[in-house]
Amino acid sequence: MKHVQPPNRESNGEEGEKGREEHFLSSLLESGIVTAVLSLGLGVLVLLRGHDATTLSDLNHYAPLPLDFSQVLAAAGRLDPLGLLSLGIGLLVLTQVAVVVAAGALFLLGGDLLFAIISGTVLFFIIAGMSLGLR
Amino acid sequence: MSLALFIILAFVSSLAGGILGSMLGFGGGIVVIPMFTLVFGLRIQEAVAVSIISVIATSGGSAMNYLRERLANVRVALLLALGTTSGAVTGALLAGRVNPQIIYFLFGGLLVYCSLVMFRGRPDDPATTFETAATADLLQLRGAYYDRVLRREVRYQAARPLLTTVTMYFAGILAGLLGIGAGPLKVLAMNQMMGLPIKVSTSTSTFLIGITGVAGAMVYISRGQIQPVLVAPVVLGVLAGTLAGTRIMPRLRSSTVKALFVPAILYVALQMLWKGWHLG
Repeated sequence: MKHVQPPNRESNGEEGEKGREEHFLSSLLESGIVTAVLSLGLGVLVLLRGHDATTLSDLNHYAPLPLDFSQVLAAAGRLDPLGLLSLGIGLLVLTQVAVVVAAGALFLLGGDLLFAIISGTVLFFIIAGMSLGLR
Repeated sequence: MSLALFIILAFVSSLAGGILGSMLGFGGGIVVIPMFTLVFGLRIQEAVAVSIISVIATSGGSAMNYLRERLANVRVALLLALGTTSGAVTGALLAGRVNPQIIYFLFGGLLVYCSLVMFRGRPDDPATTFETAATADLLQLRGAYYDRVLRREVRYQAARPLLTTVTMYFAGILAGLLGIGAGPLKVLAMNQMMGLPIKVSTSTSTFLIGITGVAGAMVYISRGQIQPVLVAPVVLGVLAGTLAGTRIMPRLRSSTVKALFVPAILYVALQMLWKGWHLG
């Protein structure tokens, strides 16, 4: 262990580079979340308009979120509330995956191979976790 | 209960979960699961499925602002994600072979101990010099943010990165075994082991829980256990809550964040012990 002084961001511009990475990832998250919120908000409005008399117990009869995104996209195109809601939830989840991929790509482009490998490994474990869960 | 009333109630309760979760680095399940099981009468499995999506919403909504404020540290989050995601895979492999009751008791006891350590610890006072390891230098685990309360830039550098990553591996095993986000453990490890300021710890934790939550969420989606009608108002409420929470947290004193965090993890600890007791 040794004592070191805090990083000097003015001296090497490294912090500025990190700032750009963070800004990009933040913008990526923002665009994904805004699209998801629009889809979910519209879905809730369509649902409320078309299903005024629905009770909470009836909700169990709704189909669960399917993984077939072609069906979801087709339903969303018809302004089907379930399609819109499913699309919103799917976008929310995929945005997080996109953030890990984008972080890895940024590190790779910035020549930081160590963190590019770390990001890739995290992505691998996410996929491995999904595969195990699906078994 | 009518659909409209359900949507309003779910939205409002999730709003509270989003505010609390985004400020303290939790997933929001701390509010969502009790609300859905006790008030709406859903089964715990259904509530957990809703909660896992709320974790991702809390994470996305919070990280969006914390990254911009430079409170969340991407490098620290990805390094620790290496531990949590590999641990989650191990946890999934171990599921069914380990008695969950023991895990609940261990996790609950550990959180009680950690909350006491944090309660008795020194107030969060960002240092100007750091004790650090060569590994932290190599990985460039440092950063700076502008503290609105102190009205100055706070610089920090992480200590013990490898030990914390190994600890996160065990947190990941717990998450994989119990289907929880383990947010409190992540905050505690970053604050107490890495020596990161509490604000950086909670905001980096919100970024991290989204990454580790994705694998679990995809499993629930693939199995058709996510009900869009139940999830939608929760996600909208949580996201609205994170907008408020991420604006409040940077304006709080670090000691206030800690003062809110300690009772919250005690509450989670008691929940864990209660679940363990009832499994018996």
